[in-house]
Amino acid sequence: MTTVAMLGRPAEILLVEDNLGDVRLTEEALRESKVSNRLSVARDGVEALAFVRREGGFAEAPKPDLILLDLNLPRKDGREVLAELKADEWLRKIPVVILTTSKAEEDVLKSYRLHANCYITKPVDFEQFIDVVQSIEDFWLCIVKLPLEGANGK
Amino acid sequence: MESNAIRVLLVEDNPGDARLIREMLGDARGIDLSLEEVDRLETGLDRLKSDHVDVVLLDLGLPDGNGLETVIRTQQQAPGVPIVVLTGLDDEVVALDAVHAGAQDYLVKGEIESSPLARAIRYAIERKQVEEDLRRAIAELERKTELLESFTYSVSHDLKEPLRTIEAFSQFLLEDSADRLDEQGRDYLQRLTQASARMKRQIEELLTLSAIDRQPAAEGRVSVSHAVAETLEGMRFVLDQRKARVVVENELPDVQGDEVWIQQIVGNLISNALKFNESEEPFVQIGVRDMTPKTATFYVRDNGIGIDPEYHERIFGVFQRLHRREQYDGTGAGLTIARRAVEAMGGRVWVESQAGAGAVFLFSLPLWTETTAHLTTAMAA
Amino acid sequence: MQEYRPIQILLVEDNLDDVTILRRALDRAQVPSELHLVRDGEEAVNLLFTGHDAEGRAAPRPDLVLLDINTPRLSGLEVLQRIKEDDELCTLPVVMLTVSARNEDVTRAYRLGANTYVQKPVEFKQFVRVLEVLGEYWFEVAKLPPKAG
Repeated sequence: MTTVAMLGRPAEILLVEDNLGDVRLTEEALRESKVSNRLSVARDGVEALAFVRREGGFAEAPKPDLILLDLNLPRKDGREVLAELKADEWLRKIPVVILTTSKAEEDVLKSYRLHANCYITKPVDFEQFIDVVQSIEDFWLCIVKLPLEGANGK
Repeated sequence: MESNAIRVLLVEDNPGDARLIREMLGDARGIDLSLEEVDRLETGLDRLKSDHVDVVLLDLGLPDGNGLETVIRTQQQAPGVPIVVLTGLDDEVVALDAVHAGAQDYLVKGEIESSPLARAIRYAIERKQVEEDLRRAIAELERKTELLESFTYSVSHDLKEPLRTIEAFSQFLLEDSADRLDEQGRDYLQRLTQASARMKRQIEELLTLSAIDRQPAAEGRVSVSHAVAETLEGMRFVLDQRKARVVVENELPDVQGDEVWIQQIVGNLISNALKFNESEEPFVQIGVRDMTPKTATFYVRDNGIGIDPEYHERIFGVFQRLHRREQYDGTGAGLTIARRAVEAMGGRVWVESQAGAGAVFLFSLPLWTETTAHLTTAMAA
Repeated sequence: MQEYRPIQILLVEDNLDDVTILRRALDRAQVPSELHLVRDGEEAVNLLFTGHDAEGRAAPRPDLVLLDINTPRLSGLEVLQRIKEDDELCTLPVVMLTVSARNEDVTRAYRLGANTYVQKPVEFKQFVRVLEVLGEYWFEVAKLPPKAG
């Protein structure tokens, strides 16, 4: 299989999350990953968009292979970030996994409507949270084929 | 009669020079010429646009043309028409430049005589014809190479589909009905499974080869140390299984190339070193052997079975094997892949070995320098 | 947690060998699912938009679509586009499952709104492993859109 594991470089993951506890847990779960990866963190929606567009202080930011996006964020809400990502001709190909505490059906539906690639509810339990992150990694980095930068890339 | 004559277009603004050429062409024997004269480049270009011309005699000092530019514009107007440049006594350097720019020949005014002039005209036509044929042959060759590459890619890709079916269904048969087969039946099934597994590997390798031929190598700065470390990390399981020891013996420089390909090269050479190795504890040494200002030569040395010099070229051929399948496993494309990848990055790969005495595989790659960096950006711009 | 009913999967696949392999792999991977098969792109679109299969039987909206790219009549990418451009159907998760590993196909699929893209592995064991991970991810970890949508 040709997956991110065969990129010849670490997979670039962007986590958009303002809760430092969740950031630390995600880092920990990914550190034990089978697949070499690099996690970047954006703490709010404005920062996330600047990061992917390489604006401001992010001129050298890596292009993410996968984005993990919380819905409730300071400055710019996750739903708005999602809408802007998916409206952008070049950024829309990057898979966005919604990772949020919200279980509301309305949020699930709205996220899929805005073309989120997947919606996952964060478990409250610490061990379960680690499991979920590892499952995301198992699926997106080992099984899935992600779009590569190249002829169709920016 | 008119149709067989060589049509010469003379572009010359000096009436004296023009008359001289006209008279000389009139004296030339054994060559049937028709001459048309114009005194401006623009008029000449117009003639070329509307009429068939066999050869242009082109003055480089026209009022509306400027030296080399005259040649270039004429060529753009009529790419298939040969040009003989006319130049002054002290201007031979410019004339040579004109030839480099695409003119077929030059004549120095004041030295022109009738029969060399006629010969120059005939030569120019002849030479242009040869150039045209060559250009066409190259274009045809490029087109065919491209076709062949895309053919290899689609064939190997499409073959995977039925292969998946063969593989899966022979396994289902083995799982569901093995107890209803006799020993011979099970043996046949076993062979079927092995053959399809082998074919799958071969297809993968053909795909890798075709990928290397299709896409140009990235030309970034690659840390060979890092590439080797990543490769070894990826091979950890295989290395442990074979109880192999791999040592990087000295500091490896940065080169210009494609990191993924370099990992592939190193990986294939290490796999090769382990495969053709009967030692209980295979030992592989990696390092850099020679460095010139522009190139580094790396080695991968093993304590394996070695290779008779007679076969040193053959082993790089695709799907070439020196041993029976039962003896040493492998499909035989690993070295081909390594060679094509090295060559695509501007290097060379070869082997030094005697049968029974281990092998040293060597590959050279261009070193990374700041100048190569500038060059790459300049070329990309 | 998802409700305890088998997941309804719509499989759009022309190659019957692959269908057999996939069924067996799903079974082996113990994904609690019901597979509905359509053989070409047009049939897939008809079923999804009308809620009826080719024989006129009611076909409820699936939880997930496994979509091949190389399908007769309407290509998988066209089917994908139709689904993702529709106000109602756009929330339906579509997993591309295909032999093509060309970045061109992968990128196009994501840009058209594919939820994810998985290459069919050549080896059966790998196929089982892929479906195990895929099944666990989509049916246990992920939250699928509510059917009412």
